[in-house]
Amino acid sequence: MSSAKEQVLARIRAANGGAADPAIARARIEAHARQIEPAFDDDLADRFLAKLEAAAATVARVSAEDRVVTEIEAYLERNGLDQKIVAGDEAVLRQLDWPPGFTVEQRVPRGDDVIGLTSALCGIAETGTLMLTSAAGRPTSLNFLPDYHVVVLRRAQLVARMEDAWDKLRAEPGAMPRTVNFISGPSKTADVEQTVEYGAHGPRCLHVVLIDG
Amino acid sequence: MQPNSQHFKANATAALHQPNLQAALKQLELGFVAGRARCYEGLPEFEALRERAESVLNHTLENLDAYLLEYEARVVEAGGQVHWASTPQEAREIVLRICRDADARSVIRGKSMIGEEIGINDALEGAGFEVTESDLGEYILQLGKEPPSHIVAPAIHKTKDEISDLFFDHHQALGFSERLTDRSALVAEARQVLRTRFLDADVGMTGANFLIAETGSNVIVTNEGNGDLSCTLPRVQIVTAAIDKVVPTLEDASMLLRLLARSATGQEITAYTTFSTGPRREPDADGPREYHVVLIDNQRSEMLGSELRPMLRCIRCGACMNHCPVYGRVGGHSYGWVYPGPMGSVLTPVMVGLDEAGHLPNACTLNGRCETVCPVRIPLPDLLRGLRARQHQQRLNSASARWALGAWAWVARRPRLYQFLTGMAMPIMARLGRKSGRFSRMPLAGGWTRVRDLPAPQGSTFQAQWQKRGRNGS
Ligand code: SF4
Repeated sequence: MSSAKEQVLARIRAANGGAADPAIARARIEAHARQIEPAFDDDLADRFLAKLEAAAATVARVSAEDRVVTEIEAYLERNGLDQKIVAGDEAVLRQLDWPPGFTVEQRVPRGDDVIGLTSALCGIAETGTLMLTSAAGRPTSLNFLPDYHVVVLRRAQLVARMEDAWDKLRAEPGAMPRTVNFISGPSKTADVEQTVEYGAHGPRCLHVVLIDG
Repeated sequence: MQPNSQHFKANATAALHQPNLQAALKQLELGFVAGRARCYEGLPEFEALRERAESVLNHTLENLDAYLLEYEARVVEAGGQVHWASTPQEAREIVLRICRDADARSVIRGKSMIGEEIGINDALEGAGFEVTESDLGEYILQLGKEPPSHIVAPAIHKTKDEISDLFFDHHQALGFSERLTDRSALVAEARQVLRTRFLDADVGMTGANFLIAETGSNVIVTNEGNGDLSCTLPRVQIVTAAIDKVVPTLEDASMLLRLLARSATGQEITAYTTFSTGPRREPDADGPREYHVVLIDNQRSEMLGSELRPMLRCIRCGACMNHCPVYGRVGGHSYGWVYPGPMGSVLTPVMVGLDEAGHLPNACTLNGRCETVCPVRIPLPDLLRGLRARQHQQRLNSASARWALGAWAWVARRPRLYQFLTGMAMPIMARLGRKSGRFSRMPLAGGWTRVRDLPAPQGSTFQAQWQKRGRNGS
């Protein structure tokens, strides 16, 4: 008896009146042409932050890198949080100069860690979306396990649309990362009587710090 | 799940008398339907997007074998494994084998309709695995041992009170001794209970909203982040996906994502959209060690060769049921299987048999709202009509319906007789109903008149009026 794979393919080919020419599929993939993209002409940073806020994230704009720590300190203070952070290993985060009292660890998070700090490969203005990719110093669980997710990125990392984000990823060395997360707000659910509640399984709060300089 | 579609009429009648269900369905109109409308107001490209989505998906279906092979090759390159299954039975066996080979004990699931379609939970539990649904709606249903009633919001029919009871009953053993009534407290308790399940699970199972031929990735969209934890924390990831989920490129997926969230929940994009490709790479910090995809046919290749082919474009957004006047009254459980509403009325007869699900294509007024809102332009009313024709050909409809259709056809082929009979019937009916202008009872139409009146005809027949107008030249 032939394998399930052969049977499935044979039925598809019978239904389509013959086997497809693999060159057609390959050429289309090779071209990976963009499809229809919604038009907009807002300022990328304005739109990006406004969309995030509309999705119940909080945002902050700082003028320079050396303002980031102060902003995070204030955020923790506002939310009554301990100065204990689990962070990803990323260039923009490595440069941060933490004041005494802060514990910042680079590791895979545990189930009871409260604050996760990461950067992002880019921010997408169309929908107010962060694109995060997995790697050695960037555990995917850091984007989902802690109650608070703080993301720091530079204005230069903003792109207009998801398609631009793909181009950016394709320009990076190496293959498709194991995980690409597009994040557009805190975790939420409407499964109890169709009413939105935040913090279903992922972070209850998402805070985005944009370095504007 | 055992289909129960043959009892559609009884199910529907019962549903009409459940006030909680009726309130929930009303809310659906205010939530998803209004949200979708708002979303598309701000998107002038909507019609163009629908057309392009339709053509991209048609192209993919025309070259489906080639795209599936490309997809498989990329998964294997990324270190994953692809398993093919013709039937739900084969799919279940593959999943069980993977779990056994991995010495797994517990499985955490992200919501997936194909998982429901192949009945994976019963199979896993029957084989002794501990299974937990992690989507809050699905988790509620798992505790209540119920099937979903909507493909996007599976537990819409449950009230807060019922959820309070379920949590109270099931969570006491876990040390939660209070019966919670506050919505956010309920969500928080579920989060706590499920957090440990995520951390303990050996296997994470999800479906796929799309599979990408270009990269070998699977895409899942969620708002809760449950699917993402399911495919990140456990050491084995299993993706169950139907063969019609494949799309050529990342750009194609981006376009379809613009349509999916808007059509489903009235969001421009969901909180989380995740692309997973193979197992973790050395030296990744986390992620599963094994990555398996089970590619499932289950009648789809048959549909590909039939008039139901357009159904394979479906992206499972649920808009057709949100806008369906029948679904909006009778709810998802009436349909008796996994997929309700217009899309379910097409899929269920194909997947469980037209004899079992014969009522479904007929539980439709052919009002066409579903087709108007479908983001990939599936002509659902045509497909339902096609299934009715199949039913007639296979002599699966009732003898009285066949007799009535036959009699009508015989008369309708004789225009003079037709005009004569209808011309006679009109004044008689008008006379009988002249008091109130409507009938509250009518022989052979009890199904209609039990719940509403039938208006009595006013004036002469359409044909007579038409002829008269033609003569007057107006
Ligand atoms: S048939 Fe169309 S509207 Fe219905 S679920 Fe599928 S894609 Fe959505």
